Amino acid sequence: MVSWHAMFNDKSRLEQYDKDGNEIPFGKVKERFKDLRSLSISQVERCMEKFYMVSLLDGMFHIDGRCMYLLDTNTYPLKELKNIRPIYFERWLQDFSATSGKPLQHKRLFTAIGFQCNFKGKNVKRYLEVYPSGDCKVRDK
Amino acid sequence: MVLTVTWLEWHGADTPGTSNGEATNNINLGSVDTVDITPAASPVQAGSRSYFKQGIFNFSGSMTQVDNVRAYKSAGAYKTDEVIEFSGGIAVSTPDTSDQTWPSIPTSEPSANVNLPNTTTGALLQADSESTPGYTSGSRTGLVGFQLDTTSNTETGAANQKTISLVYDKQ
Repeated sequence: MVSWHAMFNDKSRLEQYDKDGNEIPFGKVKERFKDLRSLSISQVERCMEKFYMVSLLDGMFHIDGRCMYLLDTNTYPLKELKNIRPIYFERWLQDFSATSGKPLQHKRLFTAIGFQCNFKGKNVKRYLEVYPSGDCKVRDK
Repeated sequence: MVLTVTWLEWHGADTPGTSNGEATNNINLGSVDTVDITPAASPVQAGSRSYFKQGIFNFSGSMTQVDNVRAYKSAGAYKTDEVIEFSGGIAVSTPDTSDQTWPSIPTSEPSANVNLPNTTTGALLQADSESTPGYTSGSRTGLVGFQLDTTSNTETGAANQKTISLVYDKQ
């Protein structure tokens, strides 16, 4: 089970599921991208909850309690990062049989969370691929 | 929410835009123009092509956006000169066994190769769902085609089971 959580500059929050369990479309977050302060996902795996967050203020990641920059801050000084925008999506796989049988597996491969920004005229991105196992990989493309 | 992804086909004079299409259990290719082909009953003879399949992938359920949709053959070995050909964007026509001149379907995860109707952004939005003829509450890809090709060099007997994978990004 994975769900996203958004915090905005006015300290208001938006959760993927409201208190009644109704799902809020991610489009509601996209409508307020310019006011987004941080975006996070929580993933429950074997009764353990892991938490992954990215700050849209400076690109810092919080990965299960640990804070880190995934951009080399010497190469990419924080003050020179412009137009920081969030990256979030779920990558899914659906298999179909082309010779027999019925539709096969349908599964989430990973959830991506991170940011992209402009630095000296170029677009730079860093995001995590968070797998159902709880493992994650850093990506820059 | 988890989306439900289904494959819908049109056969004969039944064409997209005029009917709802047919729900399917698979994308089996064979020597007849129908849904859910049983390959053993309608085999493609060596040196022949299957009827091509035209259809769409339909995404049902709550979502804001689907993009980066990719189709490829993820499992199942080909026989000699056997190949599944694929196009992620075709024009409406009546399925037959003529050569559609589509490229071979990738055998590993490619870049996005399935057209999405929202060509401005390349993303499929929930708002792109079609209410007419009204067969679904979801959104769908552009029209997609599959065809199996063999040559006289292809060994006789049943082909190996193959899997077509569809990978997509959802928000």
